[in-house]
Amino acid sequence: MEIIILNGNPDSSGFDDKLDALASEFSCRGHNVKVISLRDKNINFCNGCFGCWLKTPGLCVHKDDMENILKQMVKSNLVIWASPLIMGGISALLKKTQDRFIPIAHPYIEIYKGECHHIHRYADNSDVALYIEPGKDDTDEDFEITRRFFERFSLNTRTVFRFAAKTDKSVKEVADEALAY
Amino acid sequence: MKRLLINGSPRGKNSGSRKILSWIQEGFAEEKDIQIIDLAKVRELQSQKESFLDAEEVVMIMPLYTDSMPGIVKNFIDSLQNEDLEKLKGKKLAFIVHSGFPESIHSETLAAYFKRLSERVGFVYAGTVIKGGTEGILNMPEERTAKVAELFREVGRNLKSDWKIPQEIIRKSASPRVFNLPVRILITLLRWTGFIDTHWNTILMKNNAFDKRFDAPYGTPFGKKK
Repeated sequence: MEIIILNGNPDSSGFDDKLDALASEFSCRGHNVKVISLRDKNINFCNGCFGCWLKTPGLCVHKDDMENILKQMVKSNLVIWASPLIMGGISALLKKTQDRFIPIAHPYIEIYKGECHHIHRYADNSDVALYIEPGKDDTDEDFEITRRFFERFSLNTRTVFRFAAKTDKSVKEVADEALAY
Repeated sequence: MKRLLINGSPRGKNSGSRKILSWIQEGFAEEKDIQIIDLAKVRELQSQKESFLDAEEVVMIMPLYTDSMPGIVKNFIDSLQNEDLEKLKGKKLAFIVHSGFPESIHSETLAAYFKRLSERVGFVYAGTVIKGGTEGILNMPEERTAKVAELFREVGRNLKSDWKIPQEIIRKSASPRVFNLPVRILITLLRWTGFIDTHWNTILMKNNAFDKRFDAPYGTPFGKKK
């Protein structure tokens, strides 16, 4: 299986080590895994121009590192979105990366699971998972709201939401959950 | 009273959020002491933060991105993380989330986030108004936006009087949460006939991009075998 871990940690911390340990666990079990440290990449904010829908379908107007990340994501089986909680949510770094996802959708709408959703551009989208490090002021509600955001994201991208886990789980448990499909 | 209206749209001044902001401003019916900032100017984060710290009443208006807030809005919120809580506590906040999606179910989690954020920081939270189906409002003729304009003027008037948004307004604006079955069938029929795509296809044709609309530059297009 091809796995990508999007590390949305804005500053270097022990969370990076945790993600490396998780990556090693996947490798040991025979999977190809890559950790992408988003803070080392040049990623612009989506400017909402809809160019990727209406001018150059599938291609973003920004020529930055997101192009290569999207190429890898389209071809992988699982993308783990990882971030410490900041002000009760994923980091702005991870959020801006998520916003840059819209080239993989069409502007076209259809009813899916009883709601309006965008039609896919690609035959397959990688499964989604969420890995979160709460801070001392964060509560179960913060984690739950963050989990719900990704449940919605998964619904929008018609993907399997494999798991949402906090760093209090061991990497072995997280890997078990990720591979339970 | 120092009021601040924050436009959270990455499209900046040329956005539906700015249009909604102007209606709220009309509801406040005051020119003095209302400041407007566009978070799209990300380089001005420091001065935007100062304006926020200085304001007593703040309305944040944004489009829905990935069923959440745009990255520039999270960037602004994250910039407050090391601020002295005493400077933030008691500040009056209201939030407006609008989306191309017509149903409010897409925006509910974001409303829950803003409520929780307000609890965490100690903001006086007036509520989150969710408004769906706003795609294209910026360039719509006035008669087509008359109802939604009045809704947001009403929000402005209510905030001005006691920093509360009546539940009735929040409920009405957020309707429908999801479409009922007949509407869903209708949309599916419109989908089947292709009629529902008219808005987007017209723009694609104008941009000479219609033939490329199903391009999938990074992999196998949807509907084709890998």
